[in-house]
Amino acid sequence: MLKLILTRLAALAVILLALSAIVFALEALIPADPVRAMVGASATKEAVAAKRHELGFDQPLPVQYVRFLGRALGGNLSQSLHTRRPVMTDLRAFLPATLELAGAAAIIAAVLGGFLGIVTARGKGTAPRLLMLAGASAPPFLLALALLMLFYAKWHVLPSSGRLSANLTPPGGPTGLLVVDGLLHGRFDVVSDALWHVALPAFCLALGPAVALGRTLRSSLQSVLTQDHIRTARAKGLKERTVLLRHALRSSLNAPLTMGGLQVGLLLAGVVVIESVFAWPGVGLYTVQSISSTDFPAVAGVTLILGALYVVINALVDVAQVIADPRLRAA
Amino acid sequence: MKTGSLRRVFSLVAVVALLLSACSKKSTTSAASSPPDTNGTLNLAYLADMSVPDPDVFYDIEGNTVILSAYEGLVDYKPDTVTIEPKLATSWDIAPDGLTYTFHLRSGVTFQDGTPFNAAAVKASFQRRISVNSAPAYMLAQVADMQTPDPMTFVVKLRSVVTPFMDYMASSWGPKIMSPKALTDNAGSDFAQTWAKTNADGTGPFKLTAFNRGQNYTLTRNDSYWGPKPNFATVNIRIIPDMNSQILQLKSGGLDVILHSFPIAELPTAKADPNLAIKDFSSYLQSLLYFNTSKAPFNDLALRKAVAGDIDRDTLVNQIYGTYAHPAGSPYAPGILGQSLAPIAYPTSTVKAPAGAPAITFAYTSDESGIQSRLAGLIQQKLQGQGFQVTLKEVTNPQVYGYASTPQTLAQAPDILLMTNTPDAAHPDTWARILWGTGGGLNFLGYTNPQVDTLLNQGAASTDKAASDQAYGKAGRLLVVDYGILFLADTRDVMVMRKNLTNVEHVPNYPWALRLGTLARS
Amino acid sequence: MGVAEPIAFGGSLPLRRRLLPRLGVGRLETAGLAALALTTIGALVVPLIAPHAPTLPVAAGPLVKPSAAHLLGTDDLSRDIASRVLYGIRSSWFSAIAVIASGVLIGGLIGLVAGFRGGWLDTVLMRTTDLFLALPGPILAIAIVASLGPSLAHTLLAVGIVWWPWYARIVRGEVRAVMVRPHIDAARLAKIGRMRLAFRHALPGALPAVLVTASLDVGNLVLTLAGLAFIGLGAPPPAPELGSMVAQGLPYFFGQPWVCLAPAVAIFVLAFAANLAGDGIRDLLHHT
Repeated sequence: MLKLILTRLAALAVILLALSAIVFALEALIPADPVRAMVGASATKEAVAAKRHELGFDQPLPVQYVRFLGRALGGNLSQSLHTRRPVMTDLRAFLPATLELAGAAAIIAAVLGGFLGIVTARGKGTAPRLLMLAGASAPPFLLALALLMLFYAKWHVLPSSGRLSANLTPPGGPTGLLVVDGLLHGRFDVVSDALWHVALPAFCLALGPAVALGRTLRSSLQSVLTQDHIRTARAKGLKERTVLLRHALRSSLNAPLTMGGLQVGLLLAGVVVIESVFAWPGVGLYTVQSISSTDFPAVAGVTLILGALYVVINALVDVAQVIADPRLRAA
Repeated sequence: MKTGSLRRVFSLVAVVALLLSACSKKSTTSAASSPPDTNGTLNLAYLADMSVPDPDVFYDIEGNTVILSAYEGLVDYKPDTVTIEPKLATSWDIAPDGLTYTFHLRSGVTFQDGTPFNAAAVKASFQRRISVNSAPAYMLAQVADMQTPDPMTFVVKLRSVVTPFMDYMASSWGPKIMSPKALTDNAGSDFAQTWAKTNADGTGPFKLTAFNRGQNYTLTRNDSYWGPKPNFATVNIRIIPDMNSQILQLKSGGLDVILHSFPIAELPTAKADPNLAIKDFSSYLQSLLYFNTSKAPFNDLALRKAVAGDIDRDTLVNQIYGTYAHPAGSPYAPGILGQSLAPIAYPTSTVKAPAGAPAITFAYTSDESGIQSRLAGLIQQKLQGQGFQVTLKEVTNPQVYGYASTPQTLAQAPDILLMTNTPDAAHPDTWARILWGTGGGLNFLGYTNPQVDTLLNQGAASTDKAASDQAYGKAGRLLVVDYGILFLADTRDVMVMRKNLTNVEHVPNYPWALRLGTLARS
Repeated sequence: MGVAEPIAFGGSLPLRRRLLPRLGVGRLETAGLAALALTTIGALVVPLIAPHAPTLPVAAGPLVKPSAAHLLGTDDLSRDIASRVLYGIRSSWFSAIAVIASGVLIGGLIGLVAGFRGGWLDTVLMRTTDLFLALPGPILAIAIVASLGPSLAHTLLAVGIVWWPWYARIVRGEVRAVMVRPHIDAARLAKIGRMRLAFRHALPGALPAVLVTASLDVGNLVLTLAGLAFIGLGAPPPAPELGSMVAQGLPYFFGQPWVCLAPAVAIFVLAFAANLAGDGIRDLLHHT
């Protein structure tokens, strides 16, 4: 187990290094003049050159990369061209919202996916499956807008945008996750209001991964159910429910876990559209803004952070798999 | 047996659903039964974060409302006009040589932190703009000396004549007066730029009390404001990047105004809504078609002329904007310079593409209202109808700024560029020089014409207004017949708002912004 | 190493026995398969059946309501939406297939080599795969399209770059599982050549998993490509592409909803059919 974790940590470092190189190379390829856009139309040639020098854009590319890397290692990404703040400061402000949204979506996806997989494993549950399949086939922007029209504009039961109602002040807690901070500070009004706000965007985000999880769980369950130890359990006279949930489920978790890890990537990609529609102040919204202002440092920062998050989560999935299925420990 | 396992899963789902609905019900009673608590609060939205609320750095359009509510300059434009009216200066004198400006300041004004306003504060703010030396610093580039002969008099001496100087003072990007105490207290090593990234302290009708990136900016009424008291206690500006979300919220009362980019095709729906009003204001926003004259095929005047004729501007503008724009009558928006000084009449013609004409790259910047992409699409159709090969390309502003950097980038830049722009101030020089003067900041496809440059310099150096206007007019006429930039439309600044808003005031030079200090709800 | 195949498989029964018991495939899945087959054929003949040219204006004018002459109305540039949707389906369809084909080829080859050889080569190949998996696809697409210029080919290239690792992982997992089976040992003992062992014995074991993943991927890809086109990263206008058509129709959402709903519904139907058919294929191969 320790060896597994150590290998994963080493791999993480290598992957992040390579990722940063790729990101940097791609940035360098983009033909645009952010410096000029930053200093404005009427700036003199000298002012442009001075700003370019200040930001280090006049250096050769490899030098720029080494500087970039040096700063990044110290947890200090460059300054955003749009917000004029260090990208790290921006990300610290925007990341918690995304983590809360993605966390809520992951929980919903796991619950819905588990439900779907178990129910359909025995060939039943056509209706819920079709409904979720339909949800997962709907273009996210359309699904989000349709749900907004129903739940906000028509029935007035859910809010349209943001993380918290305007009349509430966030508890300002240690994590930045409103639900967690609210619980820590005993501010239950914040907790329920935050849950109320996160419900719709998280549901939109969760549908696709939920279906993928459900499907994978279904096929694992189906093949496990034909195996010997299940037959033994049945022969022992155990109830079918016990067989399914106690015996089959545990040894069927391997594939859904892998799928879950892979789906994290889709989840993180999905936040871009969902956060825009719901005005969710997270990394996705930040990315959209950075792209439209060709804000290199910001895009690089987002890519690195999301990439790292993805790799870390998948490493955790590997560990979880070993815990769930002891047979893998030998491998 | 199966039903048993199912029931357990169902009960789990039911618990989650109940939890969610419980939360929703609890909050619904507070939000839905009492119509959203807007009593005293004005709700606005931005499509994207503004850059920074620092008047010496800020150089965009989104964000004007924040800057203009928190800060004030020495002078201001009168609503719907180009007339300059007093603000923090009650009167001013300009020496006959055009080099010395004397401002007599308003007394009894305090900054939002309680510091009294005086000439020293003005001087400190001007000095800061020069020191920060960011985009809008060019307006003070010719300042040679500043004096404060008495606490309520401020004198600026210029190195050379700057004809638009008073317009710079009135521009939304012009010098704003910041609290000298806040500037000293937060000076740091960057002239308080770090502080000004999220804070503001001016003399304006509203204080900036919260600046949450990606979420909202809160403006709170400045109770010690020297002028008429603002009506709204709070202004909440939220970042809502999706236009349809904004429209949904406007319709249900969650928003009071959509400040810009409302889709023109949706205006009839808005008109039919008894709670909404459409307001359109005169603005200097012009829709422009740049030609890349530095390379084939558009280094050929005949071909530029042919394309201009094929586009059939008048039909095009009518088709896309309806009544919310009209074909530009001059390279200068109405109010900036007499339209008759540089009139435009592009003759319509149908010229086929010459045999072997190369493919044309057509770039456009996109906007939420869909106007730019539709305009580009229609022009493409018209040109293709005449046998031109046109490839469309959507680009971002920073990309556009990169085109004229070097001769190499210009050679790779698109052949045609569609953009909408507005001048910094209501003066011909702030438009002509940067748009079509050689090396100008908005001269994106590197148009250059020595004759035009000479005329612009004449205009800028002349202290006689009539002679100066003649020079600018002539420069404009030269550009029109040279087809360097095609002026498509003078567009209106269109806003859709709740019908109960009153005292709506708008300044043509401040696009996407309303005067929040006077705005009220009936 | 805990990388496992995302889709678990039963034994390798003769194909005949898997196809024959039709009961494994539900009626809905059959409908999905039929719809998919129809789409594939339809996509090929779109130029013959589309009533109008997809990029040229029609006489009816802009933003005309759906009618007999124009079944789905016209868009803001006076083009027949029905024709554009048909061409859009064709383009989505072929694009999805192209990405999957490249994913299967590249990923399959890398997965096969990694799983078959094992050892350090396996580690190197799989960590490289992880690296590509860690690249955020949309951002990569934005960067590639921004630097090379907008075109369908560039978008497909960007998506292809992030898509193959899935297949590499699946094939490797399956090959590893097959490699420990007795019949491979037997084949080794029989001194069967390496290439033959890899392609004749190890690869077929991975095929069903790849096939199922690929069929389930079609729906994903249709949605992913539509999403990228939606944010302006597809074929440049006026090319008929479903995602960009939706984006173009959004400003008319409340007044002329058909402009954006028609292509959106087309995306939905295509993805839904692909998803159902994917389930169908999975059932076909999986049922024992």
